[in-house]
Amino acid sequence: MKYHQTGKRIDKFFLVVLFILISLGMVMFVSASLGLLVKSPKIFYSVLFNQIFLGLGLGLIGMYFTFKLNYKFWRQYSLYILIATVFLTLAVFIPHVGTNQGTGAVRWIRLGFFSFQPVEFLKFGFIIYFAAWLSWAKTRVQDFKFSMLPLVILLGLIAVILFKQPDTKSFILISITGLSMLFISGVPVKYILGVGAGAVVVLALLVYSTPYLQARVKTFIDPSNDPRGSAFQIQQSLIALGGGGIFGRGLGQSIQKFSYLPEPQGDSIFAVLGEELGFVGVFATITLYILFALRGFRIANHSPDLFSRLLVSGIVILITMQSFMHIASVTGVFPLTGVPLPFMSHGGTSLMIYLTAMGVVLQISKLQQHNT
Amino acid sequence: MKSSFIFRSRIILVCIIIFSLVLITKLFLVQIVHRSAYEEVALRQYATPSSDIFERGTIYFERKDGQLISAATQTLGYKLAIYPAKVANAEDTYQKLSKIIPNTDYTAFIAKAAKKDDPYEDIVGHLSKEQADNVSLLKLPGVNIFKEKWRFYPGDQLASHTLGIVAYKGNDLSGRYGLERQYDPILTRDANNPYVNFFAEVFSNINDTFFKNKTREGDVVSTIEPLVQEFLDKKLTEVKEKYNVDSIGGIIMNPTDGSIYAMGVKPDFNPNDFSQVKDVSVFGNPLIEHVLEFGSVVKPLVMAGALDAGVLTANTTYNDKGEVTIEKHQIYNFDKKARGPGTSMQDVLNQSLNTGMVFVEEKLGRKNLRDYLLAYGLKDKTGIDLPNETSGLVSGILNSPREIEYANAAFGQGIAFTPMELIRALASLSNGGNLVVPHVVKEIRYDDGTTKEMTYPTTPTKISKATSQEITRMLVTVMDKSLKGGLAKMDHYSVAVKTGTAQVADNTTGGYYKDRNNHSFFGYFPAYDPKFIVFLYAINPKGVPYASQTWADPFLDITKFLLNYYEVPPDR
Repeated sequence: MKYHQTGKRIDKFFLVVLFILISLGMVMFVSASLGLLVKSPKIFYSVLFNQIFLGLGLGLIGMYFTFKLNYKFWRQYSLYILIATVFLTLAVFIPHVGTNQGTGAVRWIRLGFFSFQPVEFLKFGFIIYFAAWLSWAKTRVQDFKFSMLPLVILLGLIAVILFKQPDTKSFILISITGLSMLFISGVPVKYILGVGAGAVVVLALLVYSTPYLQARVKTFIDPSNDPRGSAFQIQQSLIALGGGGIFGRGLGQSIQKFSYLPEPQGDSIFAVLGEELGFVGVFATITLYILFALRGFRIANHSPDLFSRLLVSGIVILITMQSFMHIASVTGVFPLTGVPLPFMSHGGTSLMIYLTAMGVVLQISKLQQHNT
Repeated sequence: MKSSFIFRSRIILVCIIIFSLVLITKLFLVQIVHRSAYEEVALRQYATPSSDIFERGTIYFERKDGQLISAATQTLGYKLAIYPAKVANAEDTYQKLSKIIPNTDYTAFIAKAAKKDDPYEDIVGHLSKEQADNVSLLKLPGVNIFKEKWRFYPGDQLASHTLGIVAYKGNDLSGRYGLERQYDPILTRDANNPYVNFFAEVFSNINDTFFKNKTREGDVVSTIEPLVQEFLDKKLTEVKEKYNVDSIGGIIMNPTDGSIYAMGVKPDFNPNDFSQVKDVSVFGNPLIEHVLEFGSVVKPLVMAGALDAGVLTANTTYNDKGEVTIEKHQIYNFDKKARGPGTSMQDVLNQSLNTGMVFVEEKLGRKNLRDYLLAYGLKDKTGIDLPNETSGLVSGILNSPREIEYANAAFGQGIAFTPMELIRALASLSNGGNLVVPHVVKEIRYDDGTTKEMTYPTTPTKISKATSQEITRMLVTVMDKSLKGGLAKMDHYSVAVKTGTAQVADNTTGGYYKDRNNHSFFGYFPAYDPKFIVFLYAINPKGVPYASQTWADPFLDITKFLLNYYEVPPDR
């Protein structure tokens, strides 16, 4: 009976925002997937099944489970969780288990009839472990070797795995989340700037030495430079968004999702949203994610201890940043593609993991202390 | 410690909000500020697949044996388009392409190839398979061949005015003239194209099914008989060239049900190449859109009215003085000669005597003249299934107090109608006194397998069946005794005819041209059980004074062709 519950109320505002995001996500997912229905009804139904049963169904179960499970569990087992997720991520390199799903990168693990990206687990494994580390280090975070050094080591390890796949954008996301957590925990600003500068240099070198990243950056600088090649995706999503205008074509009425947008239900789902719901819908969606972040930080600020504070912050930063990076990639603000939009994009496992992580946040929201 | 935590997490939050503002600004630019630019790119992108697979129902001619011949149909070919950014050397590419496709425009090609920002530019369409294959073999970068469908008229000029064309008006590709326009809702095919918004289409289909009475899609079977049409066209062309006619036209119709076997106008156009037409007025159909004063071909209509009213018979006589003065206006016979007393009504028709018709009009009276003429539907549209029909101008006999208007009307001057209105009125003389609805569509074959026969009601005129027979007998006498001096008589077939040489109203002076005539001619046969009525007219033929000279032989040729082709048994 170590892990007991207090009798306080769950954060209803956060729950409502989350519920709206999930609902909007399902609606947009189904609408965007109709592009698939035309190409292959079989794939359409398998994708739909995957999202609804594995993602939403198992995710809600996982959410209930983590909501009931005392968050201190995560702190206690954080190292094992990190190791487990690192090995899971490494498993993509095992022949016959890892698969590239027809793309150039080996990011998936196939288990029988379904496949998933283990990096989604790794993201949360990292957050849990790093939150546990920082809460253990407490005030020692001022000291370089208790804060920056472990982060650099951790990120270095993750970098080796993810660049091998390659999966640069997940690395960037994890780095941003790690740095933010470090910043929040009270590390001197000069360290953050130092690591930030270092990361930029590493990234620049990486771009310079990797042809596929080079292509991305060139595309970013001039999207019209090669409309049928690497700029195609960005050009098409801009056409989708522009075609949506202020009020959009109406739910389900996207034209771009049929044969123009690559992966309308995945990497381009926000473009479909923008085309169907217009600027109004896009604005509302971004507002939802902002509300999600605002309320998430509020929960973090009032949470009972340093670990829960960092854990909630890490989860909220990860999800918000990933959402905005998806939007940034679709709108051509960042030279990136292939970032899924949390709660909306196709991916049964990732939806399941996000929902499970939300269970943790909701549980901590019940433990808020408002006397300060 | 905790306050530092809150402070630092607020900084992160501010960063996130700044990030979101950057995104919102970008989205605002894309979706609102530069919206039209993206919409334009989008439209161009979507236009490609939809125009490639443009589908449309077929219009058929029907041969007399029931065999359907495509008159307007879709044909599959190829078009050439480029991705400008991928065209390496525009000059060289053009040189290679122009060897295969000689009609490629050099400046247009270079201009399009220079639009490196555009993902797609059409270059040339309507390519044959051979051309397309040869272009593909060159493997030129950025040059692509796509399948394309377009509207094709196998008969070229044949019945072009009846068929019409399919053309763009803005972004809307649809039937613009003739049957293409009249039956556009039936011929149009929804772009049931999976590349273009499938989901929207599902919704719109549900909407159509439950809330709108959507027009069913189908093919159109015309009453036009291609060989008859060809023969008529040939005769019209001959006469047009022989007498340097300004405009010439003809209609061949079934006088009892209104089915039109052929109708044509020269000058006409080739719907496969209508962009070559310089004067768009050529697309209009004068047979239903223009009114003319037809002159003497109207005489039998008035004569039948007088017979029907019982004010005279074929044997009634009058004293023909060669001229008659009505309200200070002189009316002459065509030759200004007097036939003297004892000139019969049959003579009036045989020799087309204007003075005789003035006598008939006086006997009949203004009211009767008006009532009989209007009952022939000369003021009304015929209801033909072609667009843009107009109706006759008969204000002169509606309420004018001037006797001269009525006297002129009795021999077909001062009142004007469309050729279609006139042939319908004349058909009523042949069929027992009924007005038919002329039409060019026999049936519609819907895509769901059902067929709709087009039937039209007939409406009675004022003349009785007996009058119809009597005027027919008189008109057969015109053929047997008078046309070509009686030489035109066909021993085994009774043919009812009447010629008409009309003066041409001069809009500038309000009078008539001295040196211009319109020649018209009508006939129906076999006269007492008519299968065909033929109406022909020529505007301003040169070097020929009378309609009988212009039209007698072409009419006889057409008559013999029809009797022969349809194997009409002799009726006497």
